[in-house]
Amino acid sequence: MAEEKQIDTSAPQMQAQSGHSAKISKLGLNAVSTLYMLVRNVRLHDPTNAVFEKPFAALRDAINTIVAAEGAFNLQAVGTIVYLNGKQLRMDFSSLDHVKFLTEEFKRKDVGGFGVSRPVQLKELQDFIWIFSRENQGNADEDGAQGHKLANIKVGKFAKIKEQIEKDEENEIERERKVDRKKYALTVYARAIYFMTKFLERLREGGTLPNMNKAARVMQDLVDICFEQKTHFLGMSTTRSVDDYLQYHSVNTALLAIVFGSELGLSRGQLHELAMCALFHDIGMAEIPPEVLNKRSGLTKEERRLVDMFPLLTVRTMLKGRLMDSSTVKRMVAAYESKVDYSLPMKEPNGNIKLMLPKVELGVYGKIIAICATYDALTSARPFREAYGPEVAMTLMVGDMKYKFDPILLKVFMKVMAIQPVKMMKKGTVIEVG
Amino acid sequence: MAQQQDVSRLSNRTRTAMVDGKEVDADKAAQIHEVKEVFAKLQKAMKQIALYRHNTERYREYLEDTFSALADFLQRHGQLSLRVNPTSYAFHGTEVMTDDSKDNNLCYPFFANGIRMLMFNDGLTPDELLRFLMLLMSSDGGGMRNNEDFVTKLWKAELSAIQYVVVEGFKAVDDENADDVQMEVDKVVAYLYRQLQGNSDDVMRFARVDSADLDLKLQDVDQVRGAIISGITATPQDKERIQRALADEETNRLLPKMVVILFQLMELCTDEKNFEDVAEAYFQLLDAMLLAERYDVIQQILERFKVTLTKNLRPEVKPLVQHAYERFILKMGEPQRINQIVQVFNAGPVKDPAGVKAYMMQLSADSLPPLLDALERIEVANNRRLMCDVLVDLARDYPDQVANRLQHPSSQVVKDMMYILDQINPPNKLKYIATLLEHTNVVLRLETINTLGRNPSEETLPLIIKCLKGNDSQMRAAAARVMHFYEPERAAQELLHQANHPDFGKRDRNEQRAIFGGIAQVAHSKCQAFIQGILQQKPNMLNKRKVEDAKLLVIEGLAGSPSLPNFQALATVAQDATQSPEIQTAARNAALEMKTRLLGAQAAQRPAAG
Repeated sequence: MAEEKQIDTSAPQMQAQSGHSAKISKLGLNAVSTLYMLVRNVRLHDPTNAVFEKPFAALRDAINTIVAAEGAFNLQAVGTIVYLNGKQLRMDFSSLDHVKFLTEEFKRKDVGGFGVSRPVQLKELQDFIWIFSRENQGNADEDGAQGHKLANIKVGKFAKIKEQIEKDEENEIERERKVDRKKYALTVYARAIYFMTKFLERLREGGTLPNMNKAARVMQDLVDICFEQKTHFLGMSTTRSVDDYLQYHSVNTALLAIVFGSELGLSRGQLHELAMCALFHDIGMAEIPPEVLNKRSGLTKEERRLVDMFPLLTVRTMLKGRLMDSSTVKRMVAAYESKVDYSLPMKEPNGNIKLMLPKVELGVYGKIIAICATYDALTSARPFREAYGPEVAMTLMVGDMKYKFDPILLKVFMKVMAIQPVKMMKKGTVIEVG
Repeated sequence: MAQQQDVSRLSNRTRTAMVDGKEVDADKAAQIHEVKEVFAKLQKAMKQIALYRHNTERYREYLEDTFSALADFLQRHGQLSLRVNPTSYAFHGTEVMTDDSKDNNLCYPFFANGIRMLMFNDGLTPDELLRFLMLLMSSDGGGMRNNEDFVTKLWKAELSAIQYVVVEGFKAVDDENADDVQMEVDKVVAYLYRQLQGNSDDVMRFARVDSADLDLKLQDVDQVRGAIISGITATPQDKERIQRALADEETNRLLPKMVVILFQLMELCTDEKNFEDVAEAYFQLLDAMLLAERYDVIQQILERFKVTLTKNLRPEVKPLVQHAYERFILKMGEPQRINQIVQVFNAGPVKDPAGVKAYMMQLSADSLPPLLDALERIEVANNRRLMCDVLVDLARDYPDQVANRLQHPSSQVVKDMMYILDQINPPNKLKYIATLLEHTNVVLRLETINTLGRNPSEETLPLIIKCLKGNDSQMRAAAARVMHFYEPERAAQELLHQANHPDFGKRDRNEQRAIFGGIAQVAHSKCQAFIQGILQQKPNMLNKRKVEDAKLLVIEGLAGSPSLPNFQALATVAQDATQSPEIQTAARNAALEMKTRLLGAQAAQRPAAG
């Protein structure tokens, strides 16, 4: 039953894949650690010695599990770099010495690694390790050493594997260096969308807060793209699914905030902070049931209370991370303040509306996010209304909603977006901003 | 040297040279040699920096050699491009530096964070090189922690002449498979392309994309939204104001705002399920504020707790607030937080002494032992006194805890404890203090006698008399000096007993002087008669030295106890022609000195009336 359930839902499948990858990596690290131990001690004892019984069994199990899961076990090790099945194993600093010893021993016998495509037996592993014993004077061939030939294990020559690793690494570096920054913009945007999709997915599953800092590189890339190209790419709205709204809205707000912030003279570091604040400013929405968020008719009192509460829900969600570093505090304060009105409209005795400034001065990030998020929300289609055009959105923002925003920032935003609101008549008064 | 030898094996015909056993192009070999030199200098400089870490002003000086060698290389070659390995840098395929050290490793932090190539470009400044290296050694101090990853820090450093290539793949969550992620991202990219290239008005209308920038061919685009105009959007004044606001926000307003938000959260959407998250936030805020020395915000939190508890809260919330408040107070008094205050105390003058005092005054009696421990580690005298004053209030009901430390080997600690006990003034204070008469430190024993002497009572008299009759000469002298505080009859009896003791003549001069001084200060006829008796004694040929010595001792004793009667007594001796010139001079000098002490230097210079 449990298996059927996994096949039915895609999220657990992805999770299972992720878990698989981590498990293979862990098995690989264990195999490397055992190999080091065996290669070091085989100079003192014969591989058939009883002291090796357990390590050999552990190595065999690790290799065979990987073979069963991935169809092969291909280990390549040169210097302090180890690849398992084409993926680099992430070594702790403390294990680098062991790896270095292992690869030095490999090199001494002209070994750069070994591959297995079928389950191995203990005897064959012993024969492989014998290559490094004191008795073996010669180098290893692809099928092992004289008198201890290997049937399943294929030994890789050191020079060949070294060349291959170096070539792969060079290619990887070159790929990064030659990236087309223009097309990269869309990829980065897609990555941000993907990140938020996964992030919100995990949030809705409950449990701990996913690592927000995983978005740092993507936001840095967006800032760089903005700096390099003075990009005009301001995000996209999607009508693919109402369920996608939140991730697109979050990323669009971040992107708009970067562009707007750079025009306001923020440094790269500040833009990054702002982008991270903007990206996560609405994550509390993930706690509100979709049927409330996407409701076409009016909200009930309880539903309204829930929606009004969501800046605090965002803070509550972030607190799940149990980390109050300066970045997180900035994110929480910005998320909260992005929903706080800049001023309070008060009706004067003569009927005019006067805007009263609150005692607490709102932060810059919160004020920027308020403008960008509102603009994106208004220009996005929602189940309960069509999307507004930019001019209409801006007209609303400088008209009925103007008390929500810092007027100076709003004015700059209009210039940044090169949008002039349409003049509109309201109660006999012409509202003009700009 | 080996490297130089390698390079010197240059073959003119082939223009190659051997480097680390490999044959390489001669120009490259020379460059490799040069870069190795740069890194040798760098490693030396980093060692100096690590050794004199506190001496930040000299970092630039330590790096001078490295920088000039590197700048020289960059000027001639334009760029230095290094391959990053876990414990080494490679240049033209040759390792130019290896670093296996665990602390301040120059390679591993880059490698571990996915950086595989580092490039130094011409135009590098000493400041940029220093900033770059400091990232490797960075530790966040003051204020809140920052858990940014290394690449983010590097990125934020805005290094213009140092570039790097990161090859670490993008991942949304930790345990993802990079290939799976790439596949998913490609799906989103494909979807976005389709959106951009489609003909649906509905889609295009809201795609805010500049087609030229993305190099995409968009057809039938209804409206491309949000093209940024060139020219001035925000004025320099706007930008300046924003920077000021950001700085002010970070320094002054962020933490108080967070406090307000936390309390709203606590009141409106906290339940048993998320209570621990909120409580943890308070504790972490507390640590951040302690690091930033924002005791005012801590007070703000405490006040808010109190105010919140008086509010009409949801029934299920009130116990949570109460619980959070109590735990917050407990956390405030935990040893690691008190240690933080000790660090502040030892760093020099405290920025907000009233704030620190208010902080400590909130602590419960449970915090008394760690606070008393902390006092022992405070080295700045003024701050120690501040802590003592706090302890006076906190320990008011627990003087035993203070008294328990009176036998501490450090005289400073004991003095502090005596100060605290003195201020608390518990009913049995003298009993506590009397325990110090057995302390190993003689200075403390003597001070204890003075303290007891200043508080004469039936209870302390036996202790003083015990000292007066004890084996320690200094203690006997100190006890003699305070005897006059006690009832004169008893004081006279004890002191005269000492003065007439058969061993008196063999005792230390200082002790003899103290006993005579003590006698001179006791307002009792027997004492006065004893003094007068010695002063009026006429010496004969046989006892002249002995009588003169006794008179000198009386003069010294009188001089050691400044008072008007003693001054008059000295003046009388000075004018008494029957006294020897030596005694008269000694009495005159002692009288003048006493006059100075009693009336001040100016008055003493005026001719004496008598």
